[in-house]
Amino acid sequence: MAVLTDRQPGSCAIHRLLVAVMVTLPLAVAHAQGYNETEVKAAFLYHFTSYIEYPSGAFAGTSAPFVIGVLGKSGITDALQQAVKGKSVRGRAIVVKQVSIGQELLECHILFVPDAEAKSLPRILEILGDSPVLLVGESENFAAKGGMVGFFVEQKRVRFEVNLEAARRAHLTISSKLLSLARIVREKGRD
Amino acid sequence: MRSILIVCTCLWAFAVASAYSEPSPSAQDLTQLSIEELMQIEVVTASKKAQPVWDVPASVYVITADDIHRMGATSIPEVLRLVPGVHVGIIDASKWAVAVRGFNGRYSNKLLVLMDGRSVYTPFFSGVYWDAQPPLFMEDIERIEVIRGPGAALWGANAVNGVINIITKSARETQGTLWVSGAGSEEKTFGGWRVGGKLGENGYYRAYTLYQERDNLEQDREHVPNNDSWLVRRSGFRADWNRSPTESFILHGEVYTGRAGQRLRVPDVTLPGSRTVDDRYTISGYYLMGTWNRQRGNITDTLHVYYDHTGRSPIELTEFRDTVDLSWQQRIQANDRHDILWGIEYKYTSDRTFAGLLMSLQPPSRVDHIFGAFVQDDITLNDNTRLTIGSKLENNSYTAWEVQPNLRLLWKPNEKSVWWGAVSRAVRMPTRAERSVIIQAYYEGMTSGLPMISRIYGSPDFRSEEVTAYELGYRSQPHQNLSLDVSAFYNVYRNLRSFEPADPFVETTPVPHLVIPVYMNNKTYGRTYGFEVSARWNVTNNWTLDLGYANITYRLQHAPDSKDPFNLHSDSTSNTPRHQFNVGSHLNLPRGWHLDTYLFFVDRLFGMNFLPSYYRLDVSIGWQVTDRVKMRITLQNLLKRDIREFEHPLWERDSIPERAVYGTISWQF
Repeated sequence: MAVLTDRQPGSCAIHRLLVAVMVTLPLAVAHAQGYNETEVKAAFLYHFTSYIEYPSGAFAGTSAPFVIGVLGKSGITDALQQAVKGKSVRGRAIVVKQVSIGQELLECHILFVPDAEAKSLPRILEILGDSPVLLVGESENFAAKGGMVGFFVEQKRVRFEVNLEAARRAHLTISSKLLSLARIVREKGRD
Repeated sequence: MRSILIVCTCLWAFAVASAYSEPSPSAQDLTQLSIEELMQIEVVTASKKAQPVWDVPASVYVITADDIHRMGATSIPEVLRLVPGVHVGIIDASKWAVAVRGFNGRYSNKLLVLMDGRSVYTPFFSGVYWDAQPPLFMEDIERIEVIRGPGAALWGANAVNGVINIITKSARETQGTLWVSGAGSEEKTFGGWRVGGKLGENGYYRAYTLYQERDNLEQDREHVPNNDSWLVRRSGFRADWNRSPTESFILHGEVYTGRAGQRLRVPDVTLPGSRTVDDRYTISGYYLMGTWNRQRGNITDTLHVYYDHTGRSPIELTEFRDTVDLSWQQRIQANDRHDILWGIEYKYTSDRTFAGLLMSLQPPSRVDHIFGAFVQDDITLNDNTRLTIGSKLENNSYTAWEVQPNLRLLWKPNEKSVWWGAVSRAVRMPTRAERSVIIQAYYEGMTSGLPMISRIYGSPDFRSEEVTAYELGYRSQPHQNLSLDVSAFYNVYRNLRSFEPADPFVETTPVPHLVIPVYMNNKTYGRTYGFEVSARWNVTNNWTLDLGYANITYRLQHAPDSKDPFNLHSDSTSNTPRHQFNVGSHLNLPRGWHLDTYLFFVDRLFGMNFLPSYYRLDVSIGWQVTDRVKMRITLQNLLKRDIREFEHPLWERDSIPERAVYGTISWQF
């Protein structure tokens, strides 16, 4: 490239500074910062499994697995599978599966609704009724619109809001520890 | 030395890339963290940048606060280099040429620039005095929206080829005290101080003061300073008050003053020839702006009022201007199908000018009133399709009524992609200069024993320039780490400005000489077409690449009866590069370090003088020392010492940007 071979006198000071900076910078290596939002949400979902109390009857049997469903195709399914690999909650294995709108939603204990599926919320609420399924989403005002837990990002950090009325309707008890970390929102009426 | 530098750069880039491109700890590791710890870790939001504009049926590019911060830029035009389709060229230390989709120049006039809804272009030439837009607190900018293509149906006349909308943060987001200071080789010193606090229960304010001093650029390769140094100060405040969750007030005011330099080439018939004049001039201004916003059910009302005063006294012409603008708009989300936006606007603008060495206006003072009304309906046809139809109707004192309609269609075949198309008409009103200016342009040599100069006259018959634009766009997220935005345009122009020479005449003072009068007219027409591509790729969690490319082709010609001597063949007089591309690499390093590298390519320009194409490489290294302290070093023009980015208006001498370095430290407490 002509630009690179073009020689100009002067400005050596800047060159030296640059070289010095470039040589010394990579030495400052430590662990990397900044995580993938999806992976962080997956880790949250894993934690949620132990902070929710389900009514008796929510599980088919004592050895029935804890099912985390992800509605539609989403990158979080892989991240979740990674996150729960080899883990259990209260003696139950954790299973992650991709689900689509229909009766299989009722087989989940946690149902995650990715942003792309947010518009299906009214339909989901209709199917779930008051079944004991923790409904988690990431779209705007997900909790206020009838979901139970909604993720949002504030100052680059993942936070969540909780709609207590919706959880109560589903007979779910959310631990006070989780609630103390959440932003509590009120129902704005479903739309 | 240079080869060492390049080798070092490459080695280093590889070292850094290999060290940090490893995937971050997997989700499995994250589950080891407690839920409290999870809440504290920072995340990279994948492609969220595209989200706010995902559903917009127009070619929109958003520069975020993070983009600005990472670039380490100290002025708005420098940031605009990031946007494909925007051409930015340094004219001198305080002046830039900025245009969207072509027609660039110091007095580029087809672009509307707004700061929080306040128009900062001057009706004098319909462009922006960038030297009178001293640095904002760059930290206060929330985002800059760049709309390529006509935005006239909403924004009104002059939003012909684009709109740049600079939006600052609310006072609530700028609480506490911020101190910023910096110094460098060209950016000699700059700094500022901001305090933020609460006003009662629901109110917030910030007050700030800042200054910036820039060194002279060089006049030529022999390092002769060009007398164009720039010193500006700005102080202001913003208060935000939420009376209730649905009702808010904003009050915003600023005062600024500055001194800038320039070196002019002035035709002088007594020499005869041109002489060089060094000029130091002052710029100053102030404004006060209020906004009231209320939401009631499905209706949102916004009332926006501002008063703005500007003054400048360069040796070519002294100009003062007062503007009052009132606008009211209402958004009605009528039902699931109709989202209606309508509004009315009144603008009063009054100027006083004093003839200078090169220009005068006839009459020297003038008052203009502009009335406008617009309506737009965003119609949801079905789950995947939206139709936007709207128009602005505007009355100005030059050309009476102007209608500027547009029609836009958006189609979402699936959640990962969006198509849109638009047809719109926009006009650029005649400027004050085009109607009434007299410019002593050039010394043209001796003819029949007499010195001869050319003199440009504005014309009372000058009409609006018009464009009909056809646009098509596509956005897609083919992978969760990749977002893509493509837009194409085909613009048909009518009544563009031409310069029509007439028969020379003789003047006897100060010495007998010939004058070639050149009248501004509307005898140019033609079309431009091209496309822009931008992509953001989150290569790893710590490394993001931005890619941009823009292409434009000109097909302009003069009307058969035009005598315009300027050659419009292909790209000439257009002053816009045919190809531009940029690559931005954003690397998050450990311990709070950031490395941001920008490579820009700008194709050659065929303006008054030919300017070769160039590459420009800027590097910005940032370090978040603690939660409160940030440091940054920015290096500009690393590849070549003196790139001439833009030719100068007729009467100025060339200025050449030098290689530059500056450092910034900011402390938040």
